[in-house]
Amino acid sequence: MKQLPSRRQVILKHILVNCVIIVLLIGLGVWCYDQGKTYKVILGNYAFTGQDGTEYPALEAAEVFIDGNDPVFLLEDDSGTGDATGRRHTMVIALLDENDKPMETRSVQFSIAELGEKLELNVAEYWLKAKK
Amino acid sequence: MKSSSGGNAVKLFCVRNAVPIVFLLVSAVGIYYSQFTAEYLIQEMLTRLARNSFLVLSLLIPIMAGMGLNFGMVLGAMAGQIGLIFISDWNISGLYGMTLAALIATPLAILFGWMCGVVLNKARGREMVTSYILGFFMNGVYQLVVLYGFGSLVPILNPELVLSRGYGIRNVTNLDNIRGTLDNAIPLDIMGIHIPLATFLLIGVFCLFIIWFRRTKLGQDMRATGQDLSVAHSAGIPVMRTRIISIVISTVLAAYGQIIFLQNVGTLNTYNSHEQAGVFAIASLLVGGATVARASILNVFTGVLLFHLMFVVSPMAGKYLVGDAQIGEYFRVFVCYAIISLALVLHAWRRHADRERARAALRGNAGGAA
Repeated sequence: MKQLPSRRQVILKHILVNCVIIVLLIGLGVWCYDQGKTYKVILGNYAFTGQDGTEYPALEAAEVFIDGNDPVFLLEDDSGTGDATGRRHTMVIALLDENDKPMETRSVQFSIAELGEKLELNVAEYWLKAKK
Repeated sequence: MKSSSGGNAVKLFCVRNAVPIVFLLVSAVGIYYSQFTAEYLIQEMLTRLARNSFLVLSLLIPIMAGMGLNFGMVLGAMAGQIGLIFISDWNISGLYGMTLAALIATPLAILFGWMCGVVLNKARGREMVTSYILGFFMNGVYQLVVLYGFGSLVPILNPELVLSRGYGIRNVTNLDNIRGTLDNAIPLDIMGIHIPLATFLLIGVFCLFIIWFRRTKLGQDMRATGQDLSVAHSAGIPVMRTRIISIVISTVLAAYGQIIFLQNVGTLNTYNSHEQAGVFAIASLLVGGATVARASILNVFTGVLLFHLMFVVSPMAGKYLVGDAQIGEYFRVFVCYAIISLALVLHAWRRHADRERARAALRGNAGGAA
C-alpha cells in the first residue's frame, strides 16, 4: 500500500511549485519587456559611400513605414524619427515622384542590434539592400 | 388566490429591485430628453461596459466572503497604476505593455491586499468603513512614494514623466503606448458600431472564473464564512485566512481592472485616477440591484449599464430640460452617492431587523418582534 506523503514533503512541494510559478512569471515579464520595448529610430536620408567605394545619392523623396506604423516623410538630406517595437522589424520604403505618389516600393528587414547605440539608419542605404 | 400570490410576487420583485427599476425609469426619461441617437448610446454603453465591468466584477468575491463592499479596491487600482507608470517609463507598447504592467502590479496588489485583509480581520463587523479609510491612508502613502520616491529612490529614465525638479511623476501620464490596445486587439465593427471584442472575451473569462471559483473548496469556504463566521469557524474553516484570501484576490483583480480601464481612457491621472475607482464601481454594483451581502454577475452588468447610461444622458437631459448641463451632472453625482447611502442604510436596517427577529425567536416569540 502506497504511503501518504509526509507534511514536510507537502510543504517542499508547495515551495517548489511556488518557485516555478514565480520563475515563469519573471520569464514572462522579461519576454514582454523584450518584445514590447519601443525604440525611437532615427531615420536619415543621406548620400553614402558603399563598400565598393561607389558614391550613392540620397533618395529624392521617400515615405518610410516601420512595421506598418504611420509613415515618416523624408526628403533628400532630411531626417526624422520612427517607432519600432520589439527586436526585429520590417521597413517599407516608398520612393515618391514629383506629386508625392509612390513610384516604387521596397521592403527590408532590420534588427535593433544592427543599428548601434544611437539607433540611426540611413534609408538610402537600406533602399539598396531592400528587395523590390 | 392565485392572482393574490401573483400580485405579491410582483410586489416582492419590485421591492427587491427598487433601485434598478428607479434608475431605469429615470434613464428612460433622460434618454428622451437628451436627444441622443440610438447608435451613439449603444456605442457609449459598449465602451463603458468594456471599460468598467472588470473593476466591478472584482467586488464580488469579498461580498461572497461576507466582507461587504471592498472600498479597499483602490489599493489594487494604485498597484495597477504603478505598473503603468513603469511601462510608460520603459516605453513598452501594446499587449506586451499591458501584460508587463499586470505582472508588476500583481505582487504589489498581493501585498496591499494582504495588508488590507489583516487590518479588516482586526475590524470585523466594520469592514466597509475600515477599508474606506484604509484607502485614504494608502492614498497618502501612494502620493508620497510617487511624488517623492519616483525619480529619486526609484529610477525613472523618461524625462517626459518626471517633474521639472528632477523627481516625482507629473500629474498626467500619457498612455499612448497602450491606448485601446486590448479594445482593438480583435477588430469588430457591426453597423458602424465598434465592439471591443477582446475586452469582452476577457470579461467573459473572468465571469467563468467566478462561477468556477464558487464551486471550489475555497469558494465554498468563503460562502460559509460569509453566511456565519462562528459557524464556519466551528466547522473547521480557517475563516481569517479565507477572508484575507478574498481581499487579496479582489485587490489583484482590481489592479487588472484599473489597467483595463486606463488602457481604454488612454491617460493616467497619476494622483486621482484611483480615487474614484472604488466609489464608482461600488455605486454601479448597487445600482444593479446588489446589496452589501448579496451580489451576482447579473447585478454587475445591469449596474454598469444603468449607472453609465445615467452618466451619459444626464448632462444633456439637464441641458435641454433646464438649459444647463451642469444641473444634470449635479443630479448624477447626487444620485450616485444617494444610492450608496441608501444601500448602506438598508443593510444596517436589515441587520438590525434580523438581530431583533433572532432575539425574539430565542424568547419563543418570533411573530411579535418582526
